[in-house]
Amino acid sequence: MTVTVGIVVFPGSNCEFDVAEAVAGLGGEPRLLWHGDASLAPVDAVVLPGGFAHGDYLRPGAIARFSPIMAAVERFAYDGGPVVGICNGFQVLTEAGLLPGALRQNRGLKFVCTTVKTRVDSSRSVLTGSVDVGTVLDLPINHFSGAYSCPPDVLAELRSEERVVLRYVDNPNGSIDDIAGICSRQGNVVGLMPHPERACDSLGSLDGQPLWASLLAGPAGLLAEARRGGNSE
Amino acid sequence: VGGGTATRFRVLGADDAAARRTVEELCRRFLINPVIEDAEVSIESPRSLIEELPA
Repeated sequence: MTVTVGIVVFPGSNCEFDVAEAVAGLGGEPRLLWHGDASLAPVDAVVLPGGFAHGDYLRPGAIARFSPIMAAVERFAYDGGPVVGICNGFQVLTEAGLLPGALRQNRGLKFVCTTVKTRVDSSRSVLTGSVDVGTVLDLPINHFSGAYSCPPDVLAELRSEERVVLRYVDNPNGSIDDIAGICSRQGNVVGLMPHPERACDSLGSLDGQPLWASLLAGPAGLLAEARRGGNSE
Repeated sequence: VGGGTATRFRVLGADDAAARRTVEELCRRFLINPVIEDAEVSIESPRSLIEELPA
């Protein structure tokens, strides 16, 4: 069953082809979606890729959340569809209110571009569903506003509901509670600062692959099956 | 380290209260992220705005 992954392209996105290659490399079918479209093509998952959507004017993600396609992405998410925001995509998801909190400028106002060790701390999300808790993954990061921040009550909720899916082993940006990625209450919306799509070929780390494999095998796979089943009737 | 941004613009409103409501709504939905930022709204007289801003 081929899983179709929609990848939203905003003006200023720059990781859409990396995501497409990562998805295709694992047998998925990537489909680029333009931010100006008001509806989603038939897809089984949506990825908001990294980059600088709308030039990051005002704040990262502040304008992208008003892109026409975002209303359709929100409906898809509310219906339980898997939505993954990576780096700038994570920022868009918090601005859109699909995930709580916000991404502040890094500690020391430093742009960080390196590979870090991250630990999977919850398998409750569509991106970590088939990855063992405690697994350490080498993943690239590349951001200026990547320090996750939220009020204490939100942090307590994220912890108690096991919604912190990824933590930095050695915090590179001042993120609260070493958070590198979180998910929604249902686990179908995930945001993370590291770039698993850049850790999917033999030239570097392959540690992004288990995350993409989770996405393709989990609810997205079930959606694909249901959609194909529905079409054949 | 904290940074700040001052944004000045003209608002068409029936009165100061209506203009303030418009700007506060703009702040809430767009100009700031309330999770990490605060906004302070002040209203200047139409005359000073007209004199200072280009048409």
